[in-house]
Amino acid sequence: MDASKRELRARLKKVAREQREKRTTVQKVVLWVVFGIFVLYAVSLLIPFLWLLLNSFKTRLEFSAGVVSGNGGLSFPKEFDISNYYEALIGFRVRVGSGESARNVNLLGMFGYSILLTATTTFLEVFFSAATAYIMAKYNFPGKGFIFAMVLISMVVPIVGSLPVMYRFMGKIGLRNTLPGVWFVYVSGFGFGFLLMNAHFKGIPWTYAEAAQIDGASHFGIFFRIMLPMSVPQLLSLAIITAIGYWNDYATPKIYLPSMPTVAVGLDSLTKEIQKTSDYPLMFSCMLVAIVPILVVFACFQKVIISNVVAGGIKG
Amino acid sequence: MEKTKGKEHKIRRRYNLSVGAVVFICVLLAYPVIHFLITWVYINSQTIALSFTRYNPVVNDYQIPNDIFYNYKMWIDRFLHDERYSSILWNSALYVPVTCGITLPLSVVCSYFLYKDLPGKNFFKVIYFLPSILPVVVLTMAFRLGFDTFGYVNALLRFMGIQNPPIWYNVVLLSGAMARIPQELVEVGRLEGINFTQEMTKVVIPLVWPTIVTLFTVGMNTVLTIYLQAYFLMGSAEGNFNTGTVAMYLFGNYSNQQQVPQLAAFGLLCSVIFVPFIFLGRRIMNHFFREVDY
Repeated sequence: MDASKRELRARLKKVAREQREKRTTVQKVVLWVVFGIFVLYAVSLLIPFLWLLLNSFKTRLEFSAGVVSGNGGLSFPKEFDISNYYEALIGFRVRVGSGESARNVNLLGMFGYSILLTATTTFLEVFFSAATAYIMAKYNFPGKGFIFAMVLISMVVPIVGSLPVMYRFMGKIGLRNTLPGVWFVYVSGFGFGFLLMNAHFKGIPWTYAEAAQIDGASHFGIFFRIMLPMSVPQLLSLAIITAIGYWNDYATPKIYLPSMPTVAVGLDSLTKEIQKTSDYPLMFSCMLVAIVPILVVFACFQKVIISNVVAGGIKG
Repeated sequence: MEKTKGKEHKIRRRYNLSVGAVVFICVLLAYPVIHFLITWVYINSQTIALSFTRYNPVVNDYQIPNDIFYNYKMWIDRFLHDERYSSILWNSALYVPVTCGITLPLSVVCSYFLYKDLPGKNFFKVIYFLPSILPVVVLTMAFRLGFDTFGYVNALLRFMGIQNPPIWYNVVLLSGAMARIPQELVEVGRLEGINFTQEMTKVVIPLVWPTIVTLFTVGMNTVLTIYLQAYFLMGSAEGNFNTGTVAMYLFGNYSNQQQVPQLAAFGLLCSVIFVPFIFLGRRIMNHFFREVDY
């Protein structure tokens, strides 16, 4: 960290300290009461997951005994048995598809489908968002205003009732239950990523492109060799938040890709199947395993994710 | 032919576009524009057109009946006289007071105190934001299982828990907006001797009003879009009228091709009922404070 950043941080700390000292007793009491409420709310959000974690290490018998004793599963397991996690990831399977294409899929397989779907769709969406945003930000052409207006209208005006028609259309063109079909449903190039990248490209001076043009670069060359490499941090941020959205999405893969259950879709089927056997610790393990990748991504890119959510939705 | 070429040349000159630039724009914009034309223009116009038809099993196709408003009349009749369907509208509408009347004000208050340098504010921000990036299926089940017969909360907490307002996403957005407020503006207020309530209502809220209006509009949109939470908490979408919503009804019946015209009419009618309220809500909200650049 360089000296100027250290100095700025020290000044900010000093200002915050001064502000705290200026507070009246009533204000201090109010803040501590609010702090207490915030802690309680945070605990209420964490307790369900701690409860799942504790009980995921128990055997079915131990969990049932806890329920009978009335402790609601709020006890440490006698032994931290990780066999539920193995069973959750590999052992337990659900049947997908019908007829000859029917097969059993475990959570590991669902992870594979999720990774495949998320990686490919994120790549395509980020690329098309960047391309459309770049063209709309840097080129002037007939119909540009019309396209922009239509995109904004489509974002603002909610029209419901088109789902059955879209489902029928996808079946008619033979893209239902195929990976390209889901790409088509997801990837538009005119969504949240477009707005984010449009603002970014508007901020890049055109002089870079002019210098490249003098060196003989084509329009494609400028975009792929200059503009995209200059936008790597923004593209990465967009990719992370887009990928989280696709990873968590339930409806689209459920409707358009039933033969390849992703984690979000398959988990619903898995938990329904497990509930029939009343093996709740196994179900808890499935749920926790399913959120591990998201938690890892969030832990690594927490600041990027939060700052982009703020940047994307800050103005009306 | 020559005339067309001349026109193209004029357009290129007017917009200062070389042939290479035209090719570049056409290649990169082709997919997004075609996608938009298909998924928005074509699908929505098809939805409108099909909403005036009925399925004919004899020819296995959709045909325009004598009374082209048959589907619309049927839904209006159901909404007015069939409790099952009116409850769908009612359930959807109930999300508005919850999201706009409870969640949003709570989010504003929470964000204000996070902005006020509350101890551990970064920790709270992360914890409050975490649920918004988890799959809905895990989130709803994690809460629901705790309230089950074998769970850790009793019947009273069960009610409170389900009503636990999901303020997380709003808090992150609002505290981001509040962080941009120039400190001098707040300092001036302090020199005047204003307290927390005055600072929040007279300085902070007016300055972050555009963000509040956006969240209010998003909250009002839930009337037409929300279904997954109810779906995972209460079970099956098809035939679930007690807790069903507009979007949930469509989600539960989308694959029934014979019902496409009725579903299209249902969705459009619901849009016609609710969208004016959404726009009206936004318009009213915009009148409270004028947007200020800072």
